[in-house]
Amino acid sequence: MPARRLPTRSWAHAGATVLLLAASASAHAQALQVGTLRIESTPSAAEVELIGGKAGVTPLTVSERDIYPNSYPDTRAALYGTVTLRHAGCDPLRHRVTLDDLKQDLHLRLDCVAATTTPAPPPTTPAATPAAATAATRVPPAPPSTMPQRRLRQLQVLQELLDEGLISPAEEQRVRRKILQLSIGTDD
Amino acid sequence: MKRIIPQPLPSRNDAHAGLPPRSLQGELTPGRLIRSILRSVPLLLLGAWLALLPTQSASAMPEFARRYNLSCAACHSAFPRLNKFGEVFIKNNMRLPNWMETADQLGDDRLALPDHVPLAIRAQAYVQARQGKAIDPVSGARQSATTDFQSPYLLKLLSSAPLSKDITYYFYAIMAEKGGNGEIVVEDAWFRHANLFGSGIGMMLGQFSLSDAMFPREIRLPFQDYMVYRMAGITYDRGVQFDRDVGPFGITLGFTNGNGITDNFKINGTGYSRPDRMFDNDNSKTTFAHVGTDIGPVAVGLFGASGKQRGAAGPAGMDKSRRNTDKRVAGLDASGDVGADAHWYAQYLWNSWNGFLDADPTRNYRWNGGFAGLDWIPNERWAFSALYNYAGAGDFARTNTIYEGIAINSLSLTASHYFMRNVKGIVEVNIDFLNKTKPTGPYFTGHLSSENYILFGFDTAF
Repeated sequence: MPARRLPTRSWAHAGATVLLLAASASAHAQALQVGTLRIESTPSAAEVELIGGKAGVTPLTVSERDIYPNSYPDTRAALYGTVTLRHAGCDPLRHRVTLDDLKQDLHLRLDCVAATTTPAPPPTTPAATPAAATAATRVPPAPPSTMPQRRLRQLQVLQELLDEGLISPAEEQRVRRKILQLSIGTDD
Repeated sequence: MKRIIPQPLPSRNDAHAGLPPRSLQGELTPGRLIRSILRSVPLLLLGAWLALLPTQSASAMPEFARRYNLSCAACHSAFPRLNKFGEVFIKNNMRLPNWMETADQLGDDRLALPDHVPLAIRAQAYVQARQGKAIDPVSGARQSATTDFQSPYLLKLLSSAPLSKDITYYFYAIMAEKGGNGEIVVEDAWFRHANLFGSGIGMMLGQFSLSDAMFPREIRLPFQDYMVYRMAGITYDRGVQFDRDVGPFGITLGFTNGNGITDNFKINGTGYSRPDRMFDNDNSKTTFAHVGTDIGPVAVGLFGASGKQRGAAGPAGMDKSRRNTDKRVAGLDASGDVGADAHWYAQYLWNSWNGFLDADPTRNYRWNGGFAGLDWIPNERWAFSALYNYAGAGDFARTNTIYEGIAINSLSLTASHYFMRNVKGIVEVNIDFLNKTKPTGPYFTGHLSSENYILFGFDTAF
């Protein structure tokens, strides 16, 4: 039995509806704006390093996939999921990116008090334990004589971040506990 | 293995002998197929439109993302496909080194209770237009539906958490899979110790799929399955699996009951039933192994399995034989990347089922098959996949049993659009290259209907 031809009207109707759906989907997609992270720092113009290498200077917007590439060399596994900031006169800062960071801009404050231009620690962690698993904030160790001031400064920065709404109270509490525990351990 | 029944083949229960043959309705021409699809377009569009709306505010994420406060993108190149870090995560016993911080802080360093019940859900719903029919091998009675709302196609409840420094558990239960309403099926369900006696050997005990040592089916992008795994009967079984890296080689060695994941038998040797049950009913175990390594940019692996399976008896080979027959499987797999956005994979399996059919128990049946695929993920919104499935019935050809149906030669083309990282809509077209055949004997077996289809649907995990 020969196939009956479909009326042209139906094709036009289907085509128009598909176009409408496509336009709608496109609009939805643009509205969602997922998959980017804006990185700001104090001081600004800090060099940003991701697992793929140097990405630019702050303020900078990178894609989520720049932070979580689908593949990477084992030698750089320690940098997976992290943002490392460097600025002349400040300690390098490495930060593990979380879901909370992706929901809002990431604002990192570099420690420039009595800082040297020490380079960031090299990525020597084994491939099986990429940096995405490590602590959210890694502050390089400071000389023993400046430790109490360093902790105090860190707590002040933490409070500022909380006040500015850049971190949640739960995060603030978690990091505060870590700083205090570290401080107690050092004091002992 | 003692009993392996290729799942896609029709069983006696699939037939409704009382229904008139659907052949009266005539064959489905390509024109009819297109028209039936187009007739469904308004409904499909409405469904798509409705499904789009709530995703604007959706913030769902699967359990691991919640636990570790990480984006889905950390482990998936395109849900559910894993990226390199996702594979490392799986190998690391599905934990990150800071897993203890995600547990309830109870002041007891010997207790790591998850701070919330670790549950996630995966759901799929589809509408499909197809040419494939359900044909009773004995009576030839046919059932067909050129359009089919397959919703829900799958509802899966998953759970996993690290429980100690080395032990993780994982399980999932499927509700209403493929229309099986009223059933709950547990598939993957295992404990894994990551470092047995400090030896570096991982041990998994429970239910798992043997084929996961090669390409796990659940993280594929296409709707179409890796058919040769199902046909070869190397999917779910109960057993133990050991794994260890030795130099450049990843080695997996396992033993399973060989009778799948549904059998259990009352123990009543004393003449009075005991409360315990046997999951296996003979001493034969299936042994399997996989050795994988990287050769330049290509990951290659060798697989082998040997065991017993129940033979096939009765009309068209639809019943289980009382005999245990020898079964051997050998496989070669390879995979690699093409640039940053494309990934290819290929699998070949050779099968030898000795004396499998009661109709001729002196005969050995050999057949082979495989699949090859390419995933292209050009951006965060789209993924495109091609999957080619091939299997030849080999020595089962012209046996007039359902095992003639091992033959497949099809290409599935899939487009996945990600509304969110964890919500995708898919369109898939399956092109069947096999010609329809006529029954080779009194039973209605072989490739009696084409298996072209087009499918639309949604797949999400949260």
